[in-house]
Amino acid sequence: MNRSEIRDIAKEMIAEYVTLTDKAYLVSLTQKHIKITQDRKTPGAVELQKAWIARFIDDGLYKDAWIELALDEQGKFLRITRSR
Amino acid sequence: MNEEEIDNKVREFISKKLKVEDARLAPEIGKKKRSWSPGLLREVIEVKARAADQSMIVRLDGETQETIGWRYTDRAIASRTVNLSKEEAFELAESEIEIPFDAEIDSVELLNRGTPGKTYSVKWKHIVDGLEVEGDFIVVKINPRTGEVISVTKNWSVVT
Repeated sequence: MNRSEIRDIAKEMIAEYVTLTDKAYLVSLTQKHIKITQDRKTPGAVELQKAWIARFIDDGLYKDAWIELALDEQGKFLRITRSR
Repeated sequence: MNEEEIDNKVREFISKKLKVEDARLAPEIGKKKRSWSPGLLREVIEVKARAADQSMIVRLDGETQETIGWRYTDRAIASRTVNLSKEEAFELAESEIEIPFDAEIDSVELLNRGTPGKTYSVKWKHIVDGLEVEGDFIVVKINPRTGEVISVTKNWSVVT
């Protein structure tokens, strides 16, 4: 999947997980390796997975509020994190 | 590594860092805190220690016991003034810590915050197959006026 397709998926998918205001926007879309582990009680060397990180800013929630959506290379949901 | 071995490792590190040569001034080990690092996906151990009227916190990897960071919590301010340039700050940072082969310089910045006053922050990121590893970095902070390294933080994963 190319960047443009991932961007469209991220914009659509974000609404399934959080309610954004009309002041929300996609600020960056970057490819990174994210770390995956099976069990926090048995930490070992880290495995990596390629992911697209879509970062949204929503100034309507509070100033500089951010939400990050991580998708795999096929555009499937991996995780969501937010500033608060 | 048991608790005593950890204490001895920290003592040795601090003695070297603070150039404590007199055995009577051997570092005192204070509180030890274990916590989960979400960035590293492993446990880290923070040990407070004091020697020669100066205090430090030393950070160890909970699994390998490698020293992955340290910072002064109470540091006598050096009287010398060197006013480091950005390039000199970068060179000093590079000499302070062994830089992994898969590290790439991210930034050298003069920040307007820190103790005391301005601080140089020299940062490396972790690159694997051309992509950045989220949460991995090395940061060396330097007092630009005195040319002293004031902290080192290494969040670096071993990749399988």
